Formats: sequence, structure tokens, C-alpha cells
Amino acid sequence: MTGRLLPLAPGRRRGLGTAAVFAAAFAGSCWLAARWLPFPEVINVAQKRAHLAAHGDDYDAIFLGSSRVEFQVIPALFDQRMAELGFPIRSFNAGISGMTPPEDAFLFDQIARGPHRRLRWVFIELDYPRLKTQRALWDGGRMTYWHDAERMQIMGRCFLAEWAQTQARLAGQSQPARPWSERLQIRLDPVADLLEHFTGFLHRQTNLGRGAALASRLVKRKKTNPLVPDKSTADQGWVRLDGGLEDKNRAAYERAYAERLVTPQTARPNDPAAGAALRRLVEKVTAIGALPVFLVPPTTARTQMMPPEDLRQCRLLNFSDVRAFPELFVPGHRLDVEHLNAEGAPPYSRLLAERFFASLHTEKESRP
Amino acid sequence: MLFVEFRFLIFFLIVFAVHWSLRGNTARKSWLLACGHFFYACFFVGDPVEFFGHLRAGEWAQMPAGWWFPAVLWGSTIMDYAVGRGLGAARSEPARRAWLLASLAANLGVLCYFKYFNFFITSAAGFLTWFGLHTSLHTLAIILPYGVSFYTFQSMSYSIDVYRRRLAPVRSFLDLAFFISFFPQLVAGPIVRAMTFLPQVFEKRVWASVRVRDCCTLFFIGFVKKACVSEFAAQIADAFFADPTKYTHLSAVLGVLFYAVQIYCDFSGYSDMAIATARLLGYELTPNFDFPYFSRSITEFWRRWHISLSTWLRDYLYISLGGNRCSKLFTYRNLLLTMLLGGLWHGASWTFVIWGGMHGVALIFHREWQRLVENAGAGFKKVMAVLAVPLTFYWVCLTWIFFRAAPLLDEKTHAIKATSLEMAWRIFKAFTLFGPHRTKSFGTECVVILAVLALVHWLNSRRVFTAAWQRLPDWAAAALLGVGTELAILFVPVKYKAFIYFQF
Repeated sequence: MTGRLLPLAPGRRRGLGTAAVFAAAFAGSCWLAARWLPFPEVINVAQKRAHLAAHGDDYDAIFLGSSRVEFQVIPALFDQRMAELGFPIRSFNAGISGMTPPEDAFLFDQIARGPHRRLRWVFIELDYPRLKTQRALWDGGRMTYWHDAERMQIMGRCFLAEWAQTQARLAGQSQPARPWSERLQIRLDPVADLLEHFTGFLHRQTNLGRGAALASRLVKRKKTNPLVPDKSTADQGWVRLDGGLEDKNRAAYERAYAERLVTPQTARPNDPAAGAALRRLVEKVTAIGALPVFLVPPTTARTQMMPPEDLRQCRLLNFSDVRAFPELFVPGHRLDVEHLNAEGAPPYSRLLAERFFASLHTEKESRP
Repeated sequence: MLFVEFRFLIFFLIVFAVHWSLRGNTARKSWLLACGHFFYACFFVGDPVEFFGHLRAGEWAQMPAGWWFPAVLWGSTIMDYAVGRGLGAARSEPARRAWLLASLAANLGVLCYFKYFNFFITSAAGFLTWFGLHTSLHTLAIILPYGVSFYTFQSMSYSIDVYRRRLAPVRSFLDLAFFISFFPQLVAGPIVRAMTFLPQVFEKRVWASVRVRDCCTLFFIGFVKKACVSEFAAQIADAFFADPTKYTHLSAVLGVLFYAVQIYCDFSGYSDMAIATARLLGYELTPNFDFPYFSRSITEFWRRWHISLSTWLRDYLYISLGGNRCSKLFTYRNLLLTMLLGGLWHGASWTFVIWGGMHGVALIFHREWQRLVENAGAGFKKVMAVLAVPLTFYWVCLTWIFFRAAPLLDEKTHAIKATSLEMAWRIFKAFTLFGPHRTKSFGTECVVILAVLALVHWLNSRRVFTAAWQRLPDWAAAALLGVGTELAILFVPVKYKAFIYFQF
């Protein structure tokens, strides 16, 4: 063996050259199309993004997070309470149901590209990336639009963490022995989940179906984007979630609530992917001159993600203590273990303003 | 696993790479046989790990519906192999006939059970009720295995050809199994004859004879037809056929025309991709379409539409019935019967029978017409030459109404508000401008899109693009294909409809 590559036959060389031309033309077209096409019409996301692109300069604070932000934080009440406390600001709820890291960072990137002259605080719900995707989110492009290379890197780290955890879990379980098919299923689950994300990445990179959406709108004679503006931006981004504890949720909630009275919520074990996702978001927030404010919504979950060591100096508003915030855990204010309903949202928004106002006076503004 | 899906691309790349890296013909055939059955099983098995888990645990109730359908494919193959061997060994004509009947009974039995059992039961019950005899015949919850109509016809072609002594029975089971389960044509054709495919199986395929550029171009064209054009046309056709009574006359015409576009692009796109895929593996399949909407008569239409089925019906059914070697009346009976059965082949519904019947009547009419105008003047022939294509197309569109019509269901209760036949009749009236004129419309954009599609199709039929494409150097063609692929991907839906012909 000389270690040298054997020269390719002329026919093969030509074939490879042609394949390279094809790949280059394809990649170039994908890149050009992505630049030319408008932002995808993802329900709620497109509306809120478009609103902030038009009115970004009006807001001092934005809230980022999942349904625990979108349905629970009423910016109008928050602003009103802040004004009553002598610190008038204007805020916008950019929470999206089902949005977890790193999707929130992608949305923030979009917001940061628009006007944001007054933006001083970005409230970030503390959450961790989920490798398992929700089937329902695949419809309407929700699982596609944020899967860029940066976010895929986070999902890759998430996969490695999940994979290691799975192996450790299986290795630690000796009795009772699981059937091989179940063990294989458990081992392959993270791989399948990562492939789902990779599919999302490919869909996004190749702009799959984005022209079809435009053509479909043309045929259905909807000249304007049907997603902008609508009710999701009417109340400064807050979406009302009516309803109360149903019987099936009530038992689970009461059990969790009783449990939290005895054993308070604990911090979720350190997750490198979650830490990395949060760190990147914080870097982006500070890069535009704003400050991150970490938010722990009122849930009765057993564990909760907490900021990693290097981000502990950032402001943290934690509402998960059932003893400290009893009004947020009244059954009449709850929808389930995780969520407040429309009755619970006003006291929470006011409390949020009070705690935030208090933190402004007790803590120094610190940048990570 | 659809040809237009990303996972098919991954599957095919693996199949392709391994196929051409294997040296022996037997190894290649074994590999492709395994791939064919894997491809087929993908339609039924669902999550493979879950499937094998249930299988191991013997949890039969948890298994996905139709998980055992690949066994039907194996059963059909084994049966026809045995028939082939039996035919080869049979000394007397009655013995040969018995072997053939066994093959026909088995293949048609499978087809009748899966496809027509419930149809015959409900039709018989309806017929008896019509005579005032109320019955309580029970239907069965039968799921149709994908591709059963296609592979049973392929198997039958082998048995019939061996019986007719046009083909020697294959010695190797592998050869026959590979022929029947060759994945590019397994679930939706083209229906490949044993006579045309088996000789290719015996010879080792040569990479040098594969015209990669042409194959990629054909696959790309098929992809665009199915993923972009057909899926787009389906949006309009589906909206119209879901509740045709709400549309204006123009929109009714547009709805039917878009269905004509949808079904052509769906099926011919699938055939193009199947042919291209097979060619990349070194095998040639029967062409299935030749610009059928530019036919000047229904007879010509059937020479250009679903060619593999129409020639199969001609050679194995029409000719077996006597073809045109008998009196005019019997020839017409044969024509009508062939088309009625051809209609029924498509689906177990009276609307398909009517569709076939309409084509049969049109074929008979055309024969008579040809005889009548044989001695007509040149002027008349010129006029007819101009009108022939639009008239044929109009008739084809009328028949599509019956082909596509579906029952109208109540939005809340899902109860049938109008049967397929009633719906077809309503659409028929709207399309022929006799129905009531309503207000809902598709808009002028649809007319423009249709005109553009027609123009592109016409230019393509004149080989305008083909000639220009052939002149391009390889690198330019590759660059254009790269850009074209992205443009196509831009217009594909995130979720596909299954190919229309999968249900047959």
C-alpha cells in the first residue's frame, strides 16, 4: 500500500464532476430561494413576528416562552401594574404554545433583525430542548421553520445527552429484564427523534413546499397573508385560554400540589444542551443591548430547569413555590399542572410586574 | 414509501449502490428480490421495531392491519412457479388447461376476494331488494393489499404465455420471484409482461448501457408531474368534487379539467419514475403513456393511455374472447366486455363499470364512424381532423366524472347524502352545462394555470424540450437539473396524497 489515491477513470471523473455541478446548482438555488421567499406562514409565529417587525420600537420588554407564557402573561396588566408602581414600560408577549429551546432563540433572532430601539428586557421562560417532537407541530411548518444549522447543533447535543442517558438507564436496569424488542426500541428512539429533526432541517434548507403555500393562496383567492394581523397580536400577544380544571386534570393537579407542599420543586439535573441553548440566547439578547430576565412560571412539576452556574447572576423570577404564591395555585385559577387559565393570568401578570419591579430595586443590573 | 418521498431516495441509493457493486447476476437478483419485498412490506409493517416486538410476543391484535399481505405476494409467486413447472411437465392438452385454470382461479380468486367480495355482496343484496326480497348479507372488513391488481396480472401473464407456448417456464424460482416483486413496478405498474421482462432477468445487466442522464431527467419529470402538478391540480379537483353542486358552470368545467390533469400527472408521473428507477438498475419497463390527451379518437386514446393495461386486456382478454375474428356483433360484444371488465379492474364500484362501459361504447362508435366516413370528402376529413382531438378529450373528461365521483357525506354525521352515481350525474349535468348555475368559483388564475400547463404539454408532445435538452452538454444539464430540483421542491406539498392508482 502506497497510501496514494488511485487516479479515477475519465468516465468516473466526468460523472463525479457532473454530480458536483448538480449539487452546487441545487445548493445555490436553495440559498437564493431562501433569501427571496418571505418568512414562512407558521401560525402564531408569523403573526407575532410580523407585528414586532412593524411595531418593534414600541416595546421595552418582550416575553419569550411556551404556552406558559403565551396564555398566562397579560402584557396590558403587566404594563398597568408597572405604571402604578411608577415605572411605566410597554411589553409584548412573544410566547408561542409548544415553543421550547432552541426555537425561542430562532424567534428572537427574527425579532432582533427588526426594530428594537427601546427593547431593554427579554423575559425568557426557563425550559430545556426536547428531542421528541410533537406530531401536531409538523402541520403548518411549525417543526420546519426554525431548524437551521445553529439550532441543529443544539439538537445534536440534545441527542448525545439523551443517548447517553438512555444507555445508562438500560445498563442500570437488570431486573426485570426487558424483551430485546423493547430494549432496541428504547435505544433507537433518540435516533428516530434526531432523524425527525434532521428531516425538519432538510425541509427548511430546501424550502420544501414554500412555493406551494403561495400558489395555494393564489388559487384560493387570498391575496393578503391570512395570518397577519389577527387576534393573537391584538392583546399585545396574549392569547386567552378559557376553561378550568377538568375532572381528569383535577386529581393529577391536587396530587401534585399536595406533593409540592411537602417537597418543594427541585432543580432539574444539569443538561449541557439546555445550558448551551440558554447561553446562546442570552448572548444574543445582550448583543442587542437588552437584558435577560429568567422566568419560572407557576407549575407544580417535580423538577424545573435552573440557569447554569455562569448565568446565575442574571435576574430570575421564580413563581413555582406553592407556599409563596398561593393565589397562583388556587384550583379555580388552574387549567392543569402546568398552566393557569384566564382567571389565573391576571393575578400572575400583576405579581410578575411587582416581582420584576422589586428586582429592579433590589438587584443591580448585571450583564452575564 | 412513495417515490416522491425522501426516504425512497435513501432506500434507492442503497439499493443502487449495492446492486452495481455485486458481481454475479444471481447475487444482484437476490438483492433486488429482498429489496422488493422490503419495499412492499414498508406499506404494511409500520414501525419495524414495534412490529417485530408484537410478532415475537405473539400480540396479533396489536399488529398493523394487513401485515400479512406480503405473504399473498409470496403465495401468488409460488403458485405461478408451480403452474409454470406443471405446464412444462404436462404431456396432454387437458392437463395443460387444468394447470392454467388453476393459475387463473388462484390469481382471480385473490383479486375477487380482496377487491370484489363486498362489491358483489352489496350488489346482490341491492338486486334482491329491488325484487322485493329483503336479505341480510354480511360484508367483510377487507383491506385491499397495495398493488394486488398489478402483480396478479403480471403473474397471470406468465402462466398464460407459458400455456400459449410463447415462453418457456422458468427453471429458477428466484427469476420468477424477482420478476413479480421488482419494486419499481410492484404496486402501481406498468404491468410488465413475463415475455418482455424475463429475458432481461436471465442476462447480467451492464452499467455501461445505463444512460444516467436520461434516467435522472425522466425521474425528475415524473417527480414534477406527481409532486407539483398533480398535487396542485388535486386541490382544485378535490374542492370541486367534494361538493360540486355549489359551483358555477365554468368552475365545474375547470374542476373536471383539473381532475384530468391530476390523474394524468399522477399516474404518468409514477410510471416515469418507475421506468427511470428500473433503468438505473439496468432493466427496461414497458412505456405506459404517450400524450394520450392529444389522441384523435378513443381507439388511439387507449393506445396511448395506460398502455401496459390496455395491451394486456387486448392480448389476454379481448383476443381470448375472440377479438375481431368473429362477426361484427361479437366483436362489439368483446370490445364492450373488455372495457367493462377493464373498468371493474380499476375498482369495485358501479361508477368504474360505467366508466369502462362509456369507453366501450365510444370504441364501438368510433369503429362504426370510421366505416361511415371512409368515403367522405377531403373537406369533411379536414374539419374532423381539427375537431378530433378536442372531441376525444371532451369524451374522456366526461368519463372521468364517473371515475372520480365519490359519495357526498354529511359533514357532521358522515351519513351518505348522495351516492357516487347521483353525484356523478350532478357533475355530468354541470359539466355539460345543463345543471343549475351556482355562485362558487375558482377564479381566472386557474384558467391561466390550465392554459400554461396545456401549452407546456403540447410543446413537450412536439419534442421541443427534448431536442433542446439533448443538445446541452452534461454539465449544463446537471446545473439545470439542480436548479429545477429546487424549483420542484418549492412546489411540493409537505404531505402527499398517495398515488391514485395505488388504490387499484
